[in-house]
Amino acid sequence: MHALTAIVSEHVWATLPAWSMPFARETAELAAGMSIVALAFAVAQLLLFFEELWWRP
Amino acid sequence: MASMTRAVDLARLDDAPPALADELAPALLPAESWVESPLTWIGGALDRIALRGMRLAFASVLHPTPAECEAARHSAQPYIGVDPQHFFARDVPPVATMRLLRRHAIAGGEVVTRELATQYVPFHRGGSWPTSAENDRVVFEHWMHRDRTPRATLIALHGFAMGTTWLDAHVLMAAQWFARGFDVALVTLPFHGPRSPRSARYSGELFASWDVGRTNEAVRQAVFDADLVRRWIAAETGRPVGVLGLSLGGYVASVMASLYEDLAFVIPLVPPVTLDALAASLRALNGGSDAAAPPLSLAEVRAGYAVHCPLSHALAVPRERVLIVGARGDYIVPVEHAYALWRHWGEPAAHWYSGSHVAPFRRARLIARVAEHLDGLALD
Repeated sequence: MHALTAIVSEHVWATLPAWSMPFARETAELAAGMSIVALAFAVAQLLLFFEELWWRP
Repeated sequence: MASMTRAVDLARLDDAPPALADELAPALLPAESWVESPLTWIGGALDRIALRGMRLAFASVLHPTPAECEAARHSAQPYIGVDPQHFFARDVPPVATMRLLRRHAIAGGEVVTRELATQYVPFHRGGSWPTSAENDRVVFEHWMHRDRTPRATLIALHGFAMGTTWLDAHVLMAAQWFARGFDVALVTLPFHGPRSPRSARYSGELFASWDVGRTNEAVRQAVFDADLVRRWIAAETGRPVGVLGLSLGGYVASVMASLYEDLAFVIPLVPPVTLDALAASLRALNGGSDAAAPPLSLAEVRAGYAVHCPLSHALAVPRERVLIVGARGDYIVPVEHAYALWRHWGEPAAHWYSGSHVAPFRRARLIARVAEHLDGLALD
């Protein structure tokens, strides 16, 4: 995670103009965070799907 | 002068109901079988992963600037000490205009997307209440039976950051209720989905923030709009209308249960009882060590939200029409919230499922429990 952060800092943030940094950082954090939420939700749906296949009340 | 005002406001916090002033009491639930408990554990793990994603996504919200802190404190003032009984509009105008946006057939009926003009007037018109053409229209997807008279209409309210209709329909189990003879109305909450202003970066961004005033108005508008849809459907169909809400939608459903005694049924799923629940869960990650100091204390936030908190109101709907659903492994809205609501409403019917906020395992059992509850109400 730290290595990834360092790579992003060196190759992404460093190339952006200073005025765009806060916006770019917020947008990146938002996109990454929402992707993690979507991934958790997708995994949950997959588990629910298999659970409903396997188990009936 | 500012410090004097603050001292007076803090004194008014003493008026808050006891349940709001402190942490919620631990939930004393029936024992869970050893077969089910792994599901609760897995669900809890997925909730924690989702919370980490939210913490990253909402990082800027969790680290407010001094100006945002001051604005948050200022925005709460007009609502602290207001009598909750007088917060919600009781005299509501008739439905003015209804537009039909699109329709398509499904087995046994059709799905019609409708749009109403909201006519909402804020309780306190503060500077942060946005003027938004998108939010001035109430969009809802109406699943209607054409082959028979519906048993009732179920108004389904989605959670925070949702509002995409196909996803809401899946999560709120619209097809299951439709198959059981209910019409379903999937209502989009203010500032969500198609009602998001163009400036919003995600669905619901303007609904929940440190701006207590704007959140209070958004809750008030959500209740107003859902009631608008309820009255329109009741007049059109002549059949009973009830409400089922998930998470934030469960909160709105709980508020409606305190205001409209003629609701045919009320089913809050994993509802919070105070709107600081998500922020508290986000801050609790890593023991709260990496979050900035909040702009408002817990007591101040809850005093600001007290006007609409379900714990500030008595249950208006007859208790036998209520079913509360809580998740044992919920890390996003801990089960203590649903439990507090259950206690506050005099222990109506309840269902505590194995799983969590994002992973409601044993969903077939949950659907069967809700269906059993609705069957017992003799809606036909």
